[in-house]
Amino acid sequence: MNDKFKNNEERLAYLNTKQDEIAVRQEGELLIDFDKALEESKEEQIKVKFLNKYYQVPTSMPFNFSIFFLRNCYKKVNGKMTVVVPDEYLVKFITMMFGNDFMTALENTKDVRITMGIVFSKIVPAILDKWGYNVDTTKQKKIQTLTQG
Amino acid sequence: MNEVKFAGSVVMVDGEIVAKITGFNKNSSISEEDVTAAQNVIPGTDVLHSEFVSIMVSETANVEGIVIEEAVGGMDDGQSELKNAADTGKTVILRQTRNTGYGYTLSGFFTSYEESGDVSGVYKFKSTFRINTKTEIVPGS
Repeated sequence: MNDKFKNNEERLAYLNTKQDEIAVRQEGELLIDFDKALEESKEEQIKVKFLNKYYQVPTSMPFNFSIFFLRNCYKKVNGKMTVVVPDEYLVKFITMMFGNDFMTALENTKDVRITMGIVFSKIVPAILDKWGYNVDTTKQKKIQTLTQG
Repeated sequence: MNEVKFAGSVVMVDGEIVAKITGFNKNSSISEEDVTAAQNVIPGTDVLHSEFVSIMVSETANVEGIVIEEAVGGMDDGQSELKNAADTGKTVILRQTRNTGYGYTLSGFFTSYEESGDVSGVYKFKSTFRINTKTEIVPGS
């Protein structure tokens, strides 16, 4: 027998402590920590220069943007998959893609060359192209035919 | 059979607690004897309807838990205090209590026993326990 215990109460207390240790260990074994994988994944950024300022955009489409995009902006029109950004989502689309600073710069610019057409026919398609969506911008404003890359 | 949840069930050897039970599943089997006789004939036929009587009740329990490692010293091979009892077929006491405080003291021996260790100071064990006698535990008595 193990002489380090004086009585049964000490033995039971020891077993209870060990049972808790095992429970904690098992809990750890059941945990899959994806945050560690994310820490190892250093996402590079695309630098976008616009109105003499630099903005950073992820090299891949972020998950939250994907959900927003697929729910609201990626639809079948006349049998073709098409990007259609509804008017009520224009601001959200630009903010989610480029960030608040970019949106603020657009809102405050007095440069008359900056138009909705420039943003949606030049800048947005370039980023979507980087994210794997090849946009045909020859169609009408805000409705572009796509071929998924 | 449903597994029963236990609050403070332990295994005792020579009056000392050596293990804590974390899982307990009791099984009963009943031996029977054929007592079919001529009077069991199905009326209007020559066919007998079999008649059996129960002659013996056997109880075993599948028990698992954690057990204290035996004190290190001499020729010690690192086994637990309970394995010694299991290996020799020694009679041990299983004190099985529910959250209500009610339960049973079961006396018997292990018919199978295996243990593995991954936490210092204790082993995990799985076993089958032959129940020979059963005494009720009543709280406060």
